[in-house]
Amino acid sequence: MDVAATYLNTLEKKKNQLIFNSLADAILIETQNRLVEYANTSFCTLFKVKTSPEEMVGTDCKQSTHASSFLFKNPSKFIYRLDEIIEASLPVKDEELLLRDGRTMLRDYFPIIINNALTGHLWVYRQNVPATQIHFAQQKEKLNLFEHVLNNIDTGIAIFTPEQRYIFINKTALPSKDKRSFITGKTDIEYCTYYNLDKTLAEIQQTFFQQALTEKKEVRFEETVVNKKGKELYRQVIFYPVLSEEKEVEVVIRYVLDITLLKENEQQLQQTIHHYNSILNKLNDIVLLADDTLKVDFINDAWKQLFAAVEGDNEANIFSHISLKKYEFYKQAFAVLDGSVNKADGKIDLLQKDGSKKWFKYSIGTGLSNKKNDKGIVTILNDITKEMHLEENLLEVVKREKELNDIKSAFVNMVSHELRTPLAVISSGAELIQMMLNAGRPKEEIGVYAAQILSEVDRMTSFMNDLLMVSKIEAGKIDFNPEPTSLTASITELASKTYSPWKDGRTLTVTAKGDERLVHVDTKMTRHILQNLIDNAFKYSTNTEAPKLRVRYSKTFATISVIDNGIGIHNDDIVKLFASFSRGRNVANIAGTGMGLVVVKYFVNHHKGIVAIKSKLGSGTIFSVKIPY
Amino acid sequence: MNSKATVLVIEDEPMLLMNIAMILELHGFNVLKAPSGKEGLAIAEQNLPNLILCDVMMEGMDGFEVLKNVRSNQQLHTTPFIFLTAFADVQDKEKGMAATAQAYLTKPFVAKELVETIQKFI
Repeated sequence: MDVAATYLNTLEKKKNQLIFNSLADAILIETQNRLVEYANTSFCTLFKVKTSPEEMVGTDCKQSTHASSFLFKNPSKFIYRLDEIIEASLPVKDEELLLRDGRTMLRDYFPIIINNALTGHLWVYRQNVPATQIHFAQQKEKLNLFEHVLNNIDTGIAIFTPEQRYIFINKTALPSKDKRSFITGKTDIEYCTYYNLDKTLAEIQQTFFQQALTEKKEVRFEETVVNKKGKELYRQVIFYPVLSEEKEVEVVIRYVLDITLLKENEQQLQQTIHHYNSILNKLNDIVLLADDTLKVDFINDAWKQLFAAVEGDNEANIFSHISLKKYEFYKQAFAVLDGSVNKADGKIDLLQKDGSKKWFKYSIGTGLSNKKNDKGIVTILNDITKEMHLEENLLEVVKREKELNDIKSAFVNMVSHELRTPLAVISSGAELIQMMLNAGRPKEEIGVYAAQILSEVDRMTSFMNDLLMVSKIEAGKIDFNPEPTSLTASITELASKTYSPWKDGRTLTVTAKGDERLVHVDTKMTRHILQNLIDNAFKYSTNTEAPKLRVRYSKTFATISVIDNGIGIHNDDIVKLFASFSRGRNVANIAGTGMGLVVVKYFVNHHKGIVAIKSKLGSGTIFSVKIPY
Repeated sequence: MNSKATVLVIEDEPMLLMNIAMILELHGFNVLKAPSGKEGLAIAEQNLPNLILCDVMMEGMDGFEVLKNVRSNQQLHTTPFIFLTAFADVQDKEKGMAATAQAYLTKPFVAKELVETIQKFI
């Protein structure tokens, strides 16, 4: 008592009020002479006092006791007992009071004693409700609520023990109340046995139930049932194990969702997709759908007809189909994906199955990826190979036309240049003869210019002949009559007639190696080739030993080599030696048209042969002609 | 006519070089002969001729390059320069004149015309 009194006195008034007002119990503190010192909100509520707790302070408790006594089944007993407690001033605990409405109330009393003197009275009242009774009522109420809710959910719900015995099944899962009642505590198999039903579904469910139980996690599966009207219904069944704090399965909840509509929609969607795919597959244009990572969702048959199928075509990335080197295409595809542009188009070339190239005009637009239901791209490729070929051909024709014009122009220019120089020598020579005759110069001096004129006329004639020959060759007007010929015999005959000796007195040496075989050659052309190469060898090797000619017979071809120890050919000149009018840089003082080797090459090509040159400036040159048998 | 004037002839066709030189000598010129652009330039720098008569298409240093070198040489840059070439196209002629040559003569030439042109610039 001392403790309680001391405690109360040490607390600040406001703090007391705050604490007492938050209590569910009704508190009343009286002074020794029974005036209200404090009452909390719960007190006012319990005793149906109409004034506020603050307004009660200082009022007479005896009066208010009488006013409240009607609440009790025996009011006079209530008043009498109060006086008795105050008289005794001893603590009272859990004293039961019977209320008029049948309920009971519990009362505590503490005398407030400070310094061994009674200074006041503390009363505590609370409603007396047996705990079990409340719990049961509450649980019952909750269960009813849950059952009501579960029965009105459009999903079949059942709760099982870990042994797969029904604890609960809702109305949606089993409409019959009697059957719901019957099934509680039983398994599906037992239920089916009792009603003589097919156990297949029950057995399948049992397997998945066991899986959920073992793995302690949710298991989903789909099942098909046929309703009374014979319609197929699709259901998704979920077994969801509820775990205790110790991670043991307490119960397993089964949800059965009717997904028939979903399935039907899906089937309809698949049919629609199939329908559109078959339309797309009939198109000549290539249609390619890809997701935002450029993974291919769909490629139509037009693609497959033209290009190599990539394994798992529709799984593959677009990179498997269109090379990453097509930088511009990918740049545009990503621009469409990131929304920088709505659509993009361009031209692209792709390699077909057979390795040939096809040209396409492409158009990239935004689309939905049917797999991820997210942003994707639609690419349409239109074959423009024919148009491109036409364009290419046209460009080629224009280019060729220009080249021909350039060649023609260069040719006319060259011919003009090549003719003007000897003409200048001839005309200046003629004028000089005239001048010298007028000046009475000696015949010997005049004779030099006359010889010049003859030499230049020879040069021009030779040039014109070469030109005519090239012109005939280019126009395809040269007869090509190959016949089995003994090269050794032809060469020996030519050597003895023309080069034994040549006009400078030197004689050509001819040697042959290997087993001689007849070679299919045009004798006129061969003679021209030989004469040209041998003449060159003599012309460009004056003052050294005479050129040599060697014939070598190998397994597949015969090789004629003309070897001289002359001035040689500069490396840079070798590569352009077979172009018209091309002459070595070191032959300006030696007469030549720059056409001879052009003719040689044409003739050798006619025999499907090759011409090879090996030369060292200042040391000599070897021209080799290889002709297959 | 300055009969003592020196003309440098640069021409890679030996017979033509010989003929031009003879024509000019017969007309009283002192003639220097060069068979290539490079040798011609060296002779010009050494002898400071009164006029240079030069072929265009030559191996190594061509006529345009010779002219460019002449114009950039302090001692030679005012020397009259005449092209004598087998390129007879109008465009070739324009190109030659644009390169600061005094005249552009084409092959085959008439001796009288050649001599008069040279005399005009000496």
